Amino acid sequence: MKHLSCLLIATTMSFSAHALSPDELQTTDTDVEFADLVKRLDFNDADIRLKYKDSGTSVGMKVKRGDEKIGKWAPSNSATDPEAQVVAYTLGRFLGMRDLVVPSAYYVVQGPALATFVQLMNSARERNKWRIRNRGDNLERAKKGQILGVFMLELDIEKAEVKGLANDRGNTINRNHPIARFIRADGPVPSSSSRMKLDGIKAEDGSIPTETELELARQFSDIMVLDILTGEWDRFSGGNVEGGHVGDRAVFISRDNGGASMADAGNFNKYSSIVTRFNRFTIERVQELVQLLNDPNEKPQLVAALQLKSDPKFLLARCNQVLAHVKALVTKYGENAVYF
Amino acid sequence: MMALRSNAPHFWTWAADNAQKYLPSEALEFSGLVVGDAHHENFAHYFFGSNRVYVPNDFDDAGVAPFFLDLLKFVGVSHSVFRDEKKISTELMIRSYISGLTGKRWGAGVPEFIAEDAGVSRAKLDQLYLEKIKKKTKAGNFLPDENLTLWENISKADQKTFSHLDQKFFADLLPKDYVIRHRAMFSKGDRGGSRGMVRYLYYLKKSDTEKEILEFKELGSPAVANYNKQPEHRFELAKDAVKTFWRSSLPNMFNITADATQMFWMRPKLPNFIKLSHSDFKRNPHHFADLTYFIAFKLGVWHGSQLRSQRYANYLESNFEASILKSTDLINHYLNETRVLQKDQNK
Repeated sequence: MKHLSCLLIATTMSFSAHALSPDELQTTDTDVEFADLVKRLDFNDADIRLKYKDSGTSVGMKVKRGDEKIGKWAPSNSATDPEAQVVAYTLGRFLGMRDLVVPSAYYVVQGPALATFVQLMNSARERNKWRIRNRGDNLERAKKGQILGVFMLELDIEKAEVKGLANDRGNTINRNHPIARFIRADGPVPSSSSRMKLDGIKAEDGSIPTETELELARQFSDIMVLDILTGEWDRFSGGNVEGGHVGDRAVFISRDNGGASMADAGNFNKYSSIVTRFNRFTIERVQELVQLLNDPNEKPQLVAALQLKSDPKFLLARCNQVLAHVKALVTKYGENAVYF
Repeated sequence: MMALRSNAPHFWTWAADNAQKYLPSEALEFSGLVVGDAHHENFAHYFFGSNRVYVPNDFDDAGVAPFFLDLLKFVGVSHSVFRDEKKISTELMIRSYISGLTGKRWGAGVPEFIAEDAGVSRAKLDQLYLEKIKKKTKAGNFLPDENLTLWENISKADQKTFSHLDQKFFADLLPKDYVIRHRAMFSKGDRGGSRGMVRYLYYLKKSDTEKEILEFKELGSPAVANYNKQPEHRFELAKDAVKTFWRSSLPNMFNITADATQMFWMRPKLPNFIKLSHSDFKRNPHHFADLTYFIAFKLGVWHGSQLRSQRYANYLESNFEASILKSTDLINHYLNETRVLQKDQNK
């Protein structure tokens, strides 16, 4: 797979409310290839090699075809909700932030591949409390002969944790980080010409990628909106604020979106104080989303395109929270302060 | 302290009306099996195989409710002994709780108040148990005791209840080759945490060295039912609570038994090494604090063994400072209101 951003087809999307279909989500060559890969993917094929995913708190498997890493698979874990991971991808495409999310699809493991997973779990020496729990839960699930999980594409992009933006201990954003300040309506306005680096992100040759303050602030604000809509609760616990680079340009990546749920009230309160400045285009897309979810003719197609299994009322409620939040902020600070 | 030790129904009723005033809805969102009446005397060590494990010793009030309120109930009990945050710190209680919740190890050693209970060997326990039984019985009968009503003095109606208990519940649980030698009813009146619930005692004997005193305690509606509706099947709920907090099959002589209308918790009357009184706590504030933080830690461990605990831990860590402030506020209001209520009752 080539780099995501390099493969962006013209992102001229038709977002017509009258003809929504999965094809009309923001689509890159990578998405097309990914859909094809998933269609053909069979973990029981002779050339597929499965290894235990031994980092993070979630148990799962790394997937190789021959010697090529093609992705990771994770079943439900305490911080991996397959539905949330898949919907973050489709919703990201709907909202026009395709570059930020990672192709993810539902995938059921069964047969010899499941036996391999069981064997890998049984032979792993786990010390982390959550991993021990997750292993136990999935050994139990395996007894049913199959496990639904999520397959996430291996990105070509070199990714790493962006240092200093998360306050791991408090599980929230580090409010003093420049990006955290840029995405607040009462904070400084990010410059469209001054460039900044992201700590922890460097190129293979040791050079430091940079990007304009405005672009990086927009990207992170977008991720915050996506987090609200997917009910994310695990973004700032450590290791989940990630970035990379495209050539000499720094980028954010929202790779791990599974510490979330599409079936509850979500975490709007937490995020409402973190993000108060928005990408205008993204908010317009949220408005569009609300319209579609409220339209009985469009809703089924939209839900199918988003691969949303939970009741859409939760997503709709979160969208409305975002829009009400933005409206109140505009009243308080004015449009210029609230939108990038 | 004594009043708050038996306050479980009152706390949960109060919480149903007031918790949302003080806590954000997210804090009340994480529910699961809770102890329901966490206080310092409601925990003890038992042998599970060769391991001596500190667990709740009572499941009367266990049920489904917000985890955080289970902790706050305990914070309230602790602050009813010492209101002073310098003696019992809400922050340290919550910190200890989060440590348990997130799978950290308890590194502060066994608290002094429960050290003897923790360290007893099985052989010693068996020996002391036999000695206790010897002290309580003579010639195959219970000896008279202030709180005991012996079989021969029990009213006809209560004898009927006892016979029903024998036939309906105990017949299948009677340990092999043991013979029922005597029966008695035990009631502590209004004192203690059992709110005057009658307990049925059996003296059993197999040989001179194999004797038991088994207690049957009826489990009514748990205190947490005053907060929210509990699962329909009380028996299943109690079994789930035991499974969650004991994480083991029931040790010898312990059991839960029920029919459509009644349920009993069966346990041997083992020697008690934990003597905790209000005056002990007052005399040893440091030891009291050590035990309090330890129990808060254990509550975290038990809550953390349940569904969504990673997310719950994440929530508490995200809102640590606010949780301390809001918890303190809630507990202060609760204790103040309880104090006024007690004064009114004492008038």
